[in-house]
Amino acid sequence: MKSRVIALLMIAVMLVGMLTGCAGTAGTGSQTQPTKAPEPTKASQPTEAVKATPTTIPDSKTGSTSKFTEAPDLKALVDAGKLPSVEKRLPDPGDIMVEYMDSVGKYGEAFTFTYSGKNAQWFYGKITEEPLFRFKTDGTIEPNVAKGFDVNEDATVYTVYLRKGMKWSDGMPFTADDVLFFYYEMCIPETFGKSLWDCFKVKDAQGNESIAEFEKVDDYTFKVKFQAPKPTFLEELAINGKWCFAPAHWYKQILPKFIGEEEANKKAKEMGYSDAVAMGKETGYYYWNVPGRPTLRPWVVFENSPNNDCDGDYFVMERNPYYWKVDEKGQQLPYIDELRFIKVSDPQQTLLKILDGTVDVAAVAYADYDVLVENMERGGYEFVEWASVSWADLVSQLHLNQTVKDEKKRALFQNPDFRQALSIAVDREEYAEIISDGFAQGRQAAPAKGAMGYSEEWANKWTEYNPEKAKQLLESCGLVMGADGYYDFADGTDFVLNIQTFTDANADDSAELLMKYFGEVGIKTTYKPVDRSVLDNMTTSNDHEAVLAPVTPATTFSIILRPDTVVPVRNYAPWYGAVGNWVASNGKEGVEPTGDLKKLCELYDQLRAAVNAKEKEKIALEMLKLHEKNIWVIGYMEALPTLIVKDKKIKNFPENSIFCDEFRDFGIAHFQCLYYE
Amino acid sequence: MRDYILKRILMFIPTVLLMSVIVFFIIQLPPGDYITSYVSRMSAEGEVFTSEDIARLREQYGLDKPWYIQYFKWMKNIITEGDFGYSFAYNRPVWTVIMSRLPLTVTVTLIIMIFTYLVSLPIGLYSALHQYSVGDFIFTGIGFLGLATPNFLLAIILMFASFKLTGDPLIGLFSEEILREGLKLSNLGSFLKHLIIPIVVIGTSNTCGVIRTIRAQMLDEITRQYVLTARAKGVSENTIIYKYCLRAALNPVVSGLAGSLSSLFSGSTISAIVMNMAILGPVLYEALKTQDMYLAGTILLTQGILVVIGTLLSDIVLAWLDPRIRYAERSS
Repeated sequence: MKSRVIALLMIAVMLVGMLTGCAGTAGTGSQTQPTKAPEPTKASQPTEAVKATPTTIPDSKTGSTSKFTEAPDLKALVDAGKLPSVEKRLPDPGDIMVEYMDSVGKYGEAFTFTYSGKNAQWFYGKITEEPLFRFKTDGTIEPNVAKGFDVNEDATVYTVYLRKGMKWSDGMPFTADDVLFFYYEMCIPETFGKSLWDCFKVKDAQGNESIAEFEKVDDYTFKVKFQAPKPTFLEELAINGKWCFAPAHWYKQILPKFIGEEEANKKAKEMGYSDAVAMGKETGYYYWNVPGRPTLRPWVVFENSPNNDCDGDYFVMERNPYYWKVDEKGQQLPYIDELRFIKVSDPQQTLLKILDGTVDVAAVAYADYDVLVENMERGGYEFVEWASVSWADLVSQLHLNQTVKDEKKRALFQNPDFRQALSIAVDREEYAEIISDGFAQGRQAAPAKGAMGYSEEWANKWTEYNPEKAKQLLESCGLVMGADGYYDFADGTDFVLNIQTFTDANADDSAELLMKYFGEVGIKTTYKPVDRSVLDNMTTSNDHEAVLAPVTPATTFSIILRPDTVVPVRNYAPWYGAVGNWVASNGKEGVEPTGDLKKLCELYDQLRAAVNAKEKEKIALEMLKLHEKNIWVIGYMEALPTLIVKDKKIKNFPENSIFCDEFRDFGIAHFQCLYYE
Repeated sequence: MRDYILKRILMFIPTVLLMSVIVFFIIQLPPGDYITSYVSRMSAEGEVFTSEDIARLREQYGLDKPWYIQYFKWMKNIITEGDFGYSFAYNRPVWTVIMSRLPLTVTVTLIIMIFTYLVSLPIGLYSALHQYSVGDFIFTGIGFLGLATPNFLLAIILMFASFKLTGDPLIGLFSEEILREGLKLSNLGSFLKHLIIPIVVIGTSNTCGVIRTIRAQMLDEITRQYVLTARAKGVSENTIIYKYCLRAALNPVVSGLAGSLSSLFSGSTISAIVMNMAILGPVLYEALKTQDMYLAGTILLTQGILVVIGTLLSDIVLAWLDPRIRYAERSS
C-alpha cells in the first residue's frame, strides 16, 4: 500500500516535474491571479499535507481584524507595549498567506534537533527556508513569498506580485526594492561569492547568453525580462535561486558600496569576520546563521538572544514575530515556539538522543532500525518513509569514468559490452539481501518507479545473474584470460579495475562483495576509500577510474530542471568525467565525447533552447532513452526510501513525500505548520 | 640554577620557531585544502559551485599562494600584531574560537587530573607496600584492564548503560538546561552528574598508568640499600616510606607532568568526541580534518609551546624534588 502511494506521488512529480514550462506557455496569468483567491483545494489531494494559496481571510468584509491571534509569548509583548499588535505585524489582510493543513494547530513547545555546528547549516536552512515560489509535493510550484505572477506569451517577461504590508523579521517593510537590491547589488556584483545563478541566464537560438533584467513596477510588483524565452524560470528560481530578495535597509549599513571600503571592513571586524568579502559571503548567502540579519523565515536568530551562535554547543532559532502566514482560523504561524539544536560530534550521539526522546525529527539509517524499534515506546517516536529520487542505492552505484586517462581502459569503459559484463556478473538477489538486510531489492540504476523515464525494462536491464555470459562478453571486448586466472589486455598487460570511494560512504561491504563477483568472472579488482574531498578533487581533475558510492550519485528529480548528475554539465558526476569540462568550457577544455554521449550533450543543448514544455519533455525522454540504452551508471540495488523518525505527538507531518534537495529535504514538511498534539 | 633556567628559556625561541614551521608544513601535507573539503561538504547539501566560485574562495582565503608564503604571512602577523589569523570554518579570529572553549577545557582536565592523582597515588603505594596481596592483585587486575580497554569504547558502553538504566545517556558535559541558561549553582549537580562518565573514562586510563609507575618505582626503591640502612638505624617506617622512598618514586610522575600541561589544552580527543565534550580536542580534530590551517596551526603551536614550558617546569620541580639533580647542576 505504502509503496503504491509513493509511486503515485512519483508519477505526479514526473507529470509535472517535466511539464514545468506549462505556466509559461499556457498563456497569460493562468496560474495565479494576484488578488483573487482560488478556492482552497484541501480535500482534493490527499497525498498533500499542506496547501498554501494566497487568499483573503474569510470574514474580512466586517473590517474588523480582531480575529487574528498570535502566540501567547508575543501577546504578552504586545500587551507590555514592546511589540505592535498582530494586525500591524501581518501583511494587509487580503495579502496574508494562509496555509491549509490537515488540522489546525495550537501554540507552544519547541523542536529539538542535533546538529554538527555550522556544517549542518543547510539542515536548519532548508527547514526554515521561504523562497519566492516553492515546490509542492507533486512537483509543481506555488507562490510563497510572492503572491502570484503573470507571464507573457513567449515566456520572456514575468510579472511577480508581492504581498502588501509584508515585513522583515525586524519589522521593516518588504518591497520590490528588496528584490531589485538582491539582484543588482548582490547577485550581479557577486557580493556573496557566487557567480550569477543559471536561473537568471538565458541562451537564445543563436547560442548567445544573456542575463535577466529586473524592473520595479511599484512597491509590490516587479518584472523580470529575458532576451529569449525562459519557460522554466520560476522552477529554476525555486531550485537554484531559492530566494530572490535581501533586506536593502540592512545591507546599506554594511556593504562597501554604501559606506565605503574602510568602514565596511571595520563593520566586518565588529561582526567577527576577517574582512568585508567574508562578511558579504556569510551574511549574503548563509544569512540565516547571522544574528540580527532580517529574514522572512518562521524562526530567526535574534541579535541579543542568548544561544544565537550557530557554532555554539547550543543554538536556538526563535519565532519571527513578523511572520506573514496564518492558518485558516487566523492564528499567526508558526505554532512551535522555537527550534533548538544541540551540537553533537558523532552520529551515535544523535541516535542516543533519538532513543531517549530528545530529538523530535531526524532521518535515520536502516542499520539502526532494530535498536530504534526496540526503544520506540521509550522515545515516543514513530517511523515515516519518504521516497527517494536516486537512481540506485548510494553504495550500489558504480560509475565507470568514460574519459579515464588510461587509453586502454577508456576504450573498455566506453564499450557497452564491458558494462553489461560488470552488471550481469553480480548476483543481485544475494547482494541486496546481504547489503540491505533484506530491506531492498536488486535492480539496475534507473529513475525511481513513477518518475519520468521509468520503465520496468530499464529497471531490470542487465540484471540477470550470468557469470558465463559475462566472461564471453569480456572476451568479446578483447580481453584475454591470463595465466593467473584473470583477464589481461590483448597486448598481455594486466587489467586491473580500480574502484574508488569516499570514506564516510560506508561502501566497504558492498565493495567487498563486488570484488568477489568480479573476481569470479576473472576481473582483478582493487578498492580504495579516500577522503570525500580527495575523491571530489579526483573527479574534478579526471583522475578517477571506477567510483563506487560517488559523492554526487546519479539522481534526478527532473532531468529538465536538475540535470547535473545524469548529463555532463561541468566536472561533477564521476561517470562522465572530463566531458563535463568540455561542455562547460564550450569545447576548449576537457575531453570531447563520442557516440551516444555526444548525442546526450547535443540533446541537452536542444533542451536548453527549447521554448515549450512539450518539446522539452520530448527531448528529456530521448535523453533518458540514451541512458537506458547505455547504462553508463551501473546499479545493483534500489535506493531505499528515506527513513524518518518523528515524535508521535507531532501533527501535520506529511506521511508520504519525497526527500530531495529540490523539495528542500525536510523543508517540504512546512515546519511552520507542525504542532504538538 | 638561574643561569640554567635562563639558558633553557633562550632555547625556547628557535625550538618554537622550528615547531611552527613543521606544524604548518604537516598541516599542508594532505592533498587538497580547506576549500576542497568545504566545497565537497556543501555540494553534498545541494549547493552549486562553479570553478570561478572555487577560485575566488581560494583567493579570498589566500590559499592560492604557496605554503611558505602563507606561513610567512601568518608568522608576520603573529609577531607584529599578535594576530593568529582567522579560522575558515568558524569565520572568527582563531583566538576567539580557542578562548570560547579554553576555560571549560582547563577546568575539566584539571578535575580529571586531580582525580587521577588522588586515586592513583594511594593505590600505587598500597600495591607496592602490599605486593602480591589480594588487594594488590585486585588493583593490578583492574589496572591492566583499564590500560587495555580503549577509552572511547568504555565511553560508549557507559553511555549506553546510563541510557538503559536511567533513560538519560548523559551525553556531553551539560544538560540541555545548562546549555540554555548557563551554569548556575542550582544546576551544578547536573553538571557533576555529567562529569562522572568523562572522569571514569579519561581518568581511569591515566590512573592505571600512574598506579603502575608508582608501584614499580616504589618496589624498586624499598629494596634499595639506603632503605635497609635506614631500617637498621631504627628510622621509623613512615619516615622511610614517605620521606625517602616516595620522594624518589615520584620522579617519573613529575616528569610526566610536562605532557599533562599540553593535554590540559587538548587532551583525550577521541574520548571527547565520543562523549560530545565541548572542549578543544574535537575542535583540533575537526580543524585538521578540514585543513582549517590557522586554527589547527595555532592550537598545535600553543600545545607545542606548552610542552616546552611543561618540560622546563617539570625540570625545575625535579631539581627541587631531587637533590641529586640539583647538585649535579651546581657542580657542572
